[in-house]
Amino acid sequence: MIESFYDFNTSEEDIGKILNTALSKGCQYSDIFFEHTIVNIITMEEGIVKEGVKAISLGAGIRAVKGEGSGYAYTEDISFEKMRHAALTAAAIADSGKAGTASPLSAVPYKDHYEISKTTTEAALGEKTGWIEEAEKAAREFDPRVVKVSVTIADKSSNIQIATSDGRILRDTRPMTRLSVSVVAEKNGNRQTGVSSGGGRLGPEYFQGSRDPGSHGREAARQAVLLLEAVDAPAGPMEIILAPADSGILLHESVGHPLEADFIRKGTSAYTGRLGDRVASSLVTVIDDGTIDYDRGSINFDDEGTLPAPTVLIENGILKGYMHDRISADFFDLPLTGNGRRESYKYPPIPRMTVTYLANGSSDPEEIFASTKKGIYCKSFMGGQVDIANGDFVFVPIEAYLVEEGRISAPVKNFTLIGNGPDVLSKVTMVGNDFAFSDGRWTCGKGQLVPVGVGLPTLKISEITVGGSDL
Amino acid sequence: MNIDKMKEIADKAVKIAIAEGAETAEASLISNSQFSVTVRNEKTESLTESVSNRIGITLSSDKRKSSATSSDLSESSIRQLIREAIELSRVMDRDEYFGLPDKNDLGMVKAELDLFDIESISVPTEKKVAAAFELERIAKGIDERIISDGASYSSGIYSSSYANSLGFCEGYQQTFNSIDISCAVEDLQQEGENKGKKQSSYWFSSSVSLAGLAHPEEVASRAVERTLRKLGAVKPETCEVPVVFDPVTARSFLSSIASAVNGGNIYKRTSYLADMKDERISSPLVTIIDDPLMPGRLGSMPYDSEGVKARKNTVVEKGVLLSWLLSSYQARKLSLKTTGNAGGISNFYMEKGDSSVEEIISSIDNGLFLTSMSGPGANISSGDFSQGGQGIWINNGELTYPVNEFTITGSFSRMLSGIVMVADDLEWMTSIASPVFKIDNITISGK
Repeated sequence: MIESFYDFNTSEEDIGKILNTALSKGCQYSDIFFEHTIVNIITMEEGIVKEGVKAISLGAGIRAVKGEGSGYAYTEDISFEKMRHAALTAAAIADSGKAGTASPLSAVPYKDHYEISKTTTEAALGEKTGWIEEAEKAAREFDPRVVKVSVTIADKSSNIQIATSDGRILRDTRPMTRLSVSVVAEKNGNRQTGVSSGGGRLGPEYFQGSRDPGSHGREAARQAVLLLEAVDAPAGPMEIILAPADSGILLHESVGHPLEADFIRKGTSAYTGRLGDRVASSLVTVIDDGTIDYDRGSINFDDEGTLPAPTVLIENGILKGYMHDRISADFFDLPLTGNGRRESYKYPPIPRMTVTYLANGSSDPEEIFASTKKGIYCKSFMGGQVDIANGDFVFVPIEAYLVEEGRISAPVKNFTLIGNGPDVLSKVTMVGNDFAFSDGRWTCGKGQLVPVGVGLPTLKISEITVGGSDL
Repeated sequence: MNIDKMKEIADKAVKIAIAEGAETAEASLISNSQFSVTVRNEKTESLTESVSNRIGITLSSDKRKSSATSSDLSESSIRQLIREAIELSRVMDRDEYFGLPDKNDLGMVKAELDLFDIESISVPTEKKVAAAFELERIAKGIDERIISDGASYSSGIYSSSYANSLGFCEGYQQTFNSIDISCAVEDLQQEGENKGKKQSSYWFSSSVSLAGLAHPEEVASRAVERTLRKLGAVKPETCEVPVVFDPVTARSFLSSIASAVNGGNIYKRTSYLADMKDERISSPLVTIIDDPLMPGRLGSMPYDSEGVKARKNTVVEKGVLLSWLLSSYQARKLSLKTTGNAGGISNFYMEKGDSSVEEIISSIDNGLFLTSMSGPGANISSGDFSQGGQGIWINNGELTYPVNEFTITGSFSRMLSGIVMVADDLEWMTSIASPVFKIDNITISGK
């Protein structure tokens, strides 16, 4: 990939001068984040390839750090003078102290977690419209009740170069592919939407795998048609079974966000000061790992140049660690975890998840169902949200069913599940042996948007409040 | 960036696109100059300052449309961008509905919209930083239990120009100012897994002008009040009760309605209102307006994102859906006329009613005052509504104890029809505003 790497046209000598400028007012650390990104989005709806958008961004963000404080400025003109000016702006976070000097730069070797021969960004336009049409046709032909189909292929290719005042320089091309299908089915005025999407840090090979475009088209249509028959969900506390993969968003919301160390450092997370405490059932082990090959949430290095590694957050129910950026790791004097991420050169990095998952268990999924007299089985999700401080989180299923006497029965719709993070994780009573990662579709919003991954085996929770309307 | 220069670049880009073979072309430039400082515990936590520029080109040939955007405004880069857009347009299908707006609809509103506040751009950085420190100091001074999650001051200038191949070429600038504070407080639990439980909330004020910002005392006291009143929150019983939406949750509810009347969702049939034009969709107490012409408001604009002269639209009048909000493309798809809403809403609000908030609360024997909603369960396509909630329980006409970890579930049509009281106060915090209102009956799922 390096041969097609964008030339930021700035010598290491000039980068050193800019890093020094950022240290000139007393900051102890500075970095530069160069980015050149191409995004292509093509959408088919109403049977025609209708929208085509190409977006190009080029910029450099310069950060100066002193303790918990950081100054940040970026420029879209990456000339030496403009970058030096941005560095001066960032430096102003510190207004006294001795000027520091950046160490000489040397390249940091890293393992490539998404080695591909070609990005989707480089694929021929005709090839992309072919995939889109394949998905559209599959959805439209699935059922006569399908009234609208919308298919989007979005690809992104980012050239990143990071240089830090402690002497590290890293370059990478980050690919991303995402296919999304949305289907509306209608029957007697009842209108339901089904969605299916996936992808990852992959090139065109994604469309040749088991999740080919047609399978996404059929899956979205199947959901929409199924929901036409769904009944209103019940209201009140119930047993919940979560299907593998996408249900990982429960983890992302319930413990993922509250374990991001900026909230810990500021003392606003419900998990502040609880390292070593029991915060979940002993069946629960939660890991954040940016090294999962080709996953949407993976990174070869984070956006401040730290190499990722598996970080155990909860081990057999005991809180073991937090996800750090450089500022929080320095604050707690703990090792970096590779979780300093940002949306683009327009933002400074903050602690973010990469691929967050719950480790495999030992229960047979059939056994999990058989032990459930009355509950709700959730298969796919629209998304979720969490209140960091009190730990309350919600997540909203798309495809879900009633479970009665160990069997899946009627599909249910229109409900939100609400729970409290530590409380719900202590009620995990069975963990399946069928772990799977989600197909790459999730984007996390915490002021900045970043792609993330999730994963989970079948899981049983003894009680969550089901927010349906059927009393 | 200077507006005349921005208009010149947009105009030039349109001419290049036509010269390169496009039949129609539009160019928009946006330049954002932004400053933001956050302080926490008497220290500056972050300070950022930058200018971002972006050009967007939309062009078509034989009704095949494509778009391209770039952060590089140099002429050579724009020319390259246009060539790539033309290449992209060749693989697009013909869309017979595509086209520029009717030339007669284009234009810039003459009335003074007061979008540019000289005073706010002359505030020196030190004063902005000092204002953030002051806001935090006031909040912490109100109650010693308060943990600061940061106080911020943000400001900026948004500049934009737009040109198209019908000869339209205009531009304008808007200033932006905002202060906000977030705080938390320990909500110690005697037992259970959540020993570290806290409660948090925030408040903010944003405005085109410096003079339009709320006083720091008011912002701080509301943030602290909203935080402290959550202490000791319990899970309510599963029940059906009347619910009062506070200004925050009412605004959130109204923003879903804004999506449901968006022309894109109507022609794609992804709104439950797709077949409801001229029908009663709400209680007669509800009138909803979109008005880009309000002087000094954050959502005001002289023309929409395709150059159509801005105008006030009544969306819902006394419960009847009068108009969707449409771009020229969406209008053609629906055999209607553009409403000047390419790019979406402007200032979107529900008209205030005639009950005081006190009267609304005192009308309820047993019910909920809803202060926070969360989650993606407001589904405007099916019309189903389901959200996580936090609030204060109402007993015998008075706010009593805080509640959390529950959901509220219903449907947009049922909820809009169930609006039985609307408050007489409309508070503008963003470009969407709603008075407090009461819905007669909603399902709450809790214990």
